[in-house]
Amino acid sequence: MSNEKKIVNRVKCTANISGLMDNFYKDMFDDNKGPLCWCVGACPYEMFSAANVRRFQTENHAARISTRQEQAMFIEVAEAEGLSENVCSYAKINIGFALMMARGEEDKIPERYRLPKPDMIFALNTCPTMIQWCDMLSDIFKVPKFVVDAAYIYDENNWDRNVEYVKSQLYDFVRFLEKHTGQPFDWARLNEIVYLMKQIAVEWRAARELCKNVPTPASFLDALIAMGPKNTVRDEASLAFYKDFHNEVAQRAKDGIGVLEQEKYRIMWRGNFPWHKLGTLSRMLAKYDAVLISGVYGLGTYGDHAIDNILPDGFDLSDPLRTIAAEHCCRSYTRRFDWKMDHEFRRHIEEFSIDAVIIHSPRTCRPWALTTYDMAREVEEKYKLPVLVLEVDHTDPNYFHDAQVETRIKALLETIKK
Amino acid sequence: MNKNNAQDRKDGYFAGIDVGSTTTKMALLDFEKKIRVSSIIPTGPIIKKTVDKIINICFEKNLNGIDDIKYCVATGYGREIVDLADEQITEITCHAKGVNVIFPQAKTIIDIGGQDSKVISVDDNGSVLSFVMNDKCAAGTGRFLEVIARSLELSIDEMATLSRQSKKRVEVSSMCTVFAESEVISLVSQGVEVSDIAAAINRSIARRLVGLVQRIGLRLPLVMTGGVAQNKGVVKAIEDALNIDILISTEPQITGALGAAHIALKRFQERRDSIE
Amino acid sequence: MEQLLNKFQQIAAEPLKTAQYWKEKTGKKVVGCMGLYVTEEIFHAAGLLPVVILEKDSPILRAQAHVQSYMCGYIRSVTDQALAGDLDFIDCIISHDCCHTIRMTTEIIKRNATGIKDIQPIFLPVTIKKAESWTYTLQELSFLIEKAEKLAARSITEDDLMQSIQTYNKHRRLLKRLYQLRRDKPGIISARQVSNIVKASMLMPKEEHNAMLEPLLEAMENKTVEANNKIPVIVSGSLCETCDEYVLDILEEVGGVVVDDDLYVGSRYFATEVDESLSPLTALALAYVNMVPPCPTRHDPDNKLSDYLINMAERARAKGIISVIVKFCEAHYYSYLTFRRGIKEFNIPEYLIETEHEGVSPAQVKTRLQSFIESIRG
Repeated sequence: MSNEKKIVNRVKCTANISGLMDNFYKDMFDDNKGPLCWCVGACPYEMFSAANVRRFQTENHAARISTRQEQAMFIEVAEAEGLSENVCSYAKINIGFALMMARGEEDKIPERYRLPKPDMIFALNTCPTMIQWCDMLSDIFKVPKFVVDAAYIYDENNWDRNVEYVKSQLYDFVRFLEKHTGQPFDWARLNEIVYLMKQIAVEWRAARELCKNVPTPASFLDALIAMGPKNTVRDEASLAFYKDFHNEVAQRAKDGIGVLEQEKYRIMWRGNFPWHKLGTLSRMLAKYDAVLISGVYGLGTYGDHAIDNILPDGFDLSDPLRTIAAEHCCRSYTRRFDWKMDHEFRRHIEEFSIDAVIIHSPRTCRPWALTTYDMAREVEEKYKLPVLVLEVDHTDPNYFHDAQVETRIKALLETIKK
Repeated sequence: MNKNNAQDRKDGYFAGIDVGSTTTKMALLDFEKKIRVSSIIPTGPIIKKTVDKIINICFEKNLNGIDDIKYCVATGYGREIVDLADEQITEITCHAKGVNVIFPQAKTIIDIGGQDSKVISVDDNGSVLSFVMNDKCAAGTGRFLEVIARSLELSIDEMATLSRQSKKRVEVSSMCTVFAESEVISLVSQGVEVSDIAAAINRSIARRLVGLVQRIGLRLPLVMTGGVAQNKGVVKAIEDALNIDILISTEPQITGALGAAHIALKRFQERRDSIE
Repeated sequence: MEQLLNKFQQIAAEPLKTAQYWKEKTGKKVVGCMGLYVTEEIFHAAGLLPVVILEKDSPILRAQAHVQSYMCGYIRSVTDQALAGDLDFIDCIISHDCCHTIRMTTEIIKRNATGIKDIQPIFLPVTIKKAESWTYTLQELSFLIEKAEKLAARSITEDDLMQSIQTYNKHRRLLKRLYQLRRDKPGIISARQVSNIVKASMLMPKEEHNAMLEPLLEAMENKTVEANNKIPVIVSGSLCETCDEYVLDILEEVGGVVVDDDLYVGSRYFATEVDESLSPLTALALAYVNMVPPCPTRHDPDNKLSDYLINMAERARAKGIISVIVKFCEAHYYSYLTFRRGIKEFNIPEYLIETEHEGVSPAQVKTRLQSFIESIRG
């Protein structure tokens, strides 16, 4: 085992992300940009922009805190209030954060994470936690909330009625937004942003597909870092960033520049990511010349389904609400498990020259964790690839122990026959 | 035994026996609420034997016979197994009472025992308002300290002393005792100073306890009881985390048994009053 | 009375055997109800025998390969039963998607438990008070009617449905009378006995259960309870699992007496009556969206658990509230915290017990519950 530090050649333009996201969060303090909504879960952010409402995603905020490993304080506050340690760690961070704000303990919060109190809360229940979390925030700050119920599509024959079910709630949400801003909803702007999302999705997808190259021009970790604007900002600057990202990745692919000096093992990641261990995992893998090529997480976000023709309607700019509704009905949580296993996951294994798969089974996220054992079995049996089910967590620091994880990863790599 | 005779004579004792997972404690009070004798011994594998042993120890100390016990309250995990007991009362209630006797002003109690830790909120009479206990695992308990001390090849006292020489802050994040132990071992193998590890362990316990305190709501003054209250490192870590001073009696381990003995006296008087 | 109670106890002791017994005896097809809100009346109306699939009190072996240990005991146990072939005699399992854990488990069972005849997920709106939730519920119930008709190979008329609703309502009213008697005469029946009665009801034809309940209630009306100084408490929780009965036993052993409950195997099962004056399908859908007990898995912000339990405690003159959470039940964790924040102003003592399939040390549960009772007694 060598202990020398290996160089990880990251996609350069991802260095701009931090500034982009900082600006995005700074905007939350700008009262001229409309009321502030805290959004729980994967939400139709384009609708907020069209209504001139500032918004950010609470999970993104929690992940942001975690990447600098400053989440423990907030988790402790939430647990002290009585929230179980087994609850989603994003929620624990955000609820702890909210409690500190409501108690006037803002001065204890590092400045870069501070936010104004919300004027409203929104949630779309891609997982059941969202609704309860939303209620909790609304209770803490005593502000109005709006909840959209995303149906479970257990049978593809139910597609239409489910999309209509979500769409009709989104219409109600337009009314809710108009009521709270006192302004008419800007439908033209909504169309613009939906179109913008389509362009972003195209750039994003193209860049990610280039990772089929050996060596891979970008890693999954580059993609994770780059995902923020697409998932939560969604504006013209975001599109510009993804164009840069795509161009840089394409150039690297053309020049044969990889992420590692020597790319020995190509690993696929499945599941959400332990944000607080992004650097640790990157270094740990690089040490053994292993790179995370791709992952289903962050890929199944807005737009991918449409351009991939998974979404039966595609991008329908004449009916943006239906497009948004359909997008949310496509999420892995809202559709059947065998579908979820079938598509992107298998395609990646088949097309990206994968040597092994790491499946993350987060301790505090039951929707992501369940089915992972079966997935692991399928990968082993069908694709004859070694699999590691890593049982850590997306942000709770109590479940990740570097030495243990490294042992497991090393053992996984040792089973790859090369 | 001839305990239920209401006698005018003011002799006789009131016993509190606290059978904990690590140690067994006994306190004997007289009518004047004075502690006549108390004792602490390790709890053996057979609780009955331990209880017999502690009774014998107490009665070797110049007291009349065991028949002079007017009322006995047993508490702690082994409370069901004390034949002598007239009544079983939980250690929560007994610690609250015991603390009330020593520190009548106390509002919050932290008791870290061998296998569980608890935070109790009490009123001015020492009655329990609310309480929380740790999860069923050993995190934040005396056992956690023992396991870690063993893996550092130290006694608990040595670990407490060493922790105060810590110069560099390291973290042990695992709440699980077994994982924390392996974290400690890997810290040792990385060459981290033992004093720094010991301090990290104290902070880890403090974190756990502070969480429990906050769930109940901190009201001052706060008293700490149980064996771990003698561990200055842990006490300091909790004081730092809560930014308060903690009150500790000279014999914090005996608090539960003392409370039990006081309850025994009270019960005896209630019973006598009701007979009269 | 003792005899009847013993009979209920025997029925509740072996859920699968009971269901199998009724299947053989009646010759009816069995529909297994998994998750919270499967409309039993629809299957009853088709001449089928709906039974609730319960957690089984045995070690989890086979499911370990499919379901993590950090999932609730209910789905781990149900998966285990499915993989062991215990549920193969059930003609169709209807799995209500009440949380993601059940959602995914349904798919895991479908994929791995080859002996299962049929497992059908259903989705009912989570935000129950919205206009579109109502139509969605109607559509889903219509689908269930089709499913029941296919299974039974016969059609269901409005009359069939209405008769089933009436039978179920009668059943609900009898159980409510049982609860009224328990409130009026605390200790007349133990919490475990009540649990046995409700559990039996989940496993057998309601007509038969009604026939057993009536003489029991009569006997209870005529029985008096000696005065005692037990502390009256109510118990809430255990959303889809049987509340670990040893918790109830210990609670009553250390000086408490359960005077009402908000448990799944308890009042949650029969709290909501169906309106007999409406057309049956409408009435069933309405009963869902207007469910009486606040449900942590549903979104109905005006129906607060804290208010509901405070009212329940007042009505039963209870002096404390015990919440029983099944470990890893995410929805319930939040709901408990909201409840806890909501009752602060009422000054009623409450305590939380978290249970696990593998069991929590009874000694620890006892210390906690005993301390709780001691603290109320003062």
